[in-house]
Amino acid sequence: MTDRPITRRECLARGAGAAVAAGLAAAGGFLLHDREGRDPATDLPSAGGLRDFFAGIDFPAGSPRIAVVVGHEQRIRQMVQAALAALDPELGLKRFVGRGDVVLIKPNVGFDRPPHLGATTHPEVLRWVIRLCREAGASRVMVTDNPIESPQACFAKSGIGPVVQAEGAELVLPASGRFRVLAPWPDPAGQQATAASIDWQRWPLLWEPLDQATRLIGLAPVKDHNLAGGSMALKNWYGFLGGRRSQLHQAIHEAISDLALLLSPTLVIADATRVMMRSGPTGGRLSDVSPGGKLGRPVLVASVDPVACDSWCYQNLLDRDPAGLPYLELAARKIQSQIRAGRRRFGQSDWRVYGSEGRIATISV
Amino acid sequence: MPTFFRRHYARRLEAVGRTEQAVGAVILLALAGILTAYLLDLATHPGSPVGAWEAAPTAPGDRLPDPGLPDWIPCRQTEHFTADNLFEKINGRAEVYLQHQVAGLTFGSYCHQTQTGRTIDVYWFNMGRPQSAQAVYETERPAQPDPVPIGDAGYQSGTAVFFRKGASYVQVVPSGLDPADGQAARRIAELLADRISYQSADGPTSAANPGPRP
Repeated sequence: MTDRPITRRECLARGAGAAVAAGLAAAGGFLLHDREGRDPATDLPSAGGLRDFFAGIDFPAGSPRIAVVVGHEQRIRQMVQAALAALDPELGLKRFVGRGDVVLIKPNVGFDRPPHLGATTHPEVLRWVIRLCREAGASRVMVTDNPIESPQACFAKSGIGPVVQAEGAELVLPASGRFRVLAPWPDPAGQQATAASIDWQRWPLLWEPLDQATRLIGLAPVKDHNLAGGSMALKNWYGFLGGRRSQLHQAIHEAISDLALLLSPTLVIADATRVMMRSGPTGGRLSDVSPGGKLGRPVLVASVDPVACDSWCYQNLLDRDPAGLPYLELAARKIQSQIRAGRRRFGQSDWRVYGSEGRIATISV
Repeated sequence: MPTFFRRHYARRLEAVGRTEQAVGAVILLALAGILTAYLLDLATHPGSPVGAWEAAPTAPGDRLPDPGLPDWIPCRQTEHFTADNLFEKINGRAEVYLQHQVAGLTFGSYCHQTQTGRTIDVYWFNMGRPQSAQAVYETERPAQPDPVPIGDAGYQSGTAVFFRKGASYVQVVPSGLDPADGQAARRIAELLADRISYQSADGPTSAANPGPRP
């Protein structure tokens, strides 16, 4: 390096060089940047296909498809036991959960609300389902949900978190590393089975617990839903989704029915101990809530067919016509291709079909 | 060797030529352009820091006012939501408020001083104008409300209290069903109603009208 002072010519040359470099850098950045933007939530590896959580279950052809238990707030344990025993009088939950199974329970913990408002699954129902899973021989019991609000706050205020802890189950919080996007999901005929309007291959799914589980039990409250009409077993699967779920609201019936196709659970239990009849899904008023909805007493509905379960609950608890709930028919139609291919057993949009076949068991405890 | 500050220049600093000034201006403009483009790019993509700033709270204050009750204190900073991100708090229900042109939601909580987990949540909706507040209030009001003299047409449901006043629609929701929680919620609702003016869209946070209620 010399001490020679800079000349005017050098100054101009260097300045021009710097300007050219800055210009090139800006132009390069403009040309090369991702114009659609990268969303860290969807920039995920593919998860592969989802497991059929009903696979391998030797469910007798003559068994009830839907078990309805009408009970009392103080008899939650008996209600849970009776619902599962009614679904399989021979083995109860042991029909569905065997020794060494890893069970994933999916309650609805979507809101930062206390249990009595009915926006979330009743913690005592969860408690007894966890215990029965353990009695059936489950080696692990996981509980998860992905609330829009703070998961910690939702799990705490709903009472779900304390119950999971007290029962020694695993609370799986929706940490970002647990999400994946789904692999393509063609139907057995090789056609696009899910809604064309939703790109599930870019949508993050709370994959890790689904990947680790061998059995999946949905445990959804029954409630009014401003957009979907009703939130029950099928809508509950929304809680496996990450990303900006509000974007799916434009096609909410397609989205719910797609989830009905994608997720084949071991069984579902609709928690109608307190039914939010209006102002759902958040509620807030005790007057919005009725035990058992239209029935006026706490109810639990266990079923191997989530579509029919929702159909029954919508009519008999929320007191509305299932024909007016578009996602039921959409889900049944999508699942039909799997049923025809022998890859799925149940997907009935009209619960009355089971009623006429005597496949609905009703118990009072 | 001369230091940076003692560098020898061929001429005095103040004698910068027009060409040099022009080059310098071009460089500065280019840098400003790059920075502007970067910020615009971030702002156009939801979730970017700039986007978040734009959707950030507009309501004043960061805590709910002290209710003056022995067991209850404001326990966390208030959260603020606009029409754009209301779904982050009340997903699935936000559309009802959006249909009535909601301007924003301020959410805060009171905590019981000795019993962890016992809370009273406050949802204050700024509906922008009284007609909107009344419309959404009517949508959610039960058929046979249990009226309380708070704000305009206040009512109690279980331990929770609901009222509207001006452009505001306020829900005070305890986590428990203890009658004492209901009394505290009612006291808090009275306090908030006193602090919400009919004219202004100010919220019931402490900065809107600081100081405890006499």
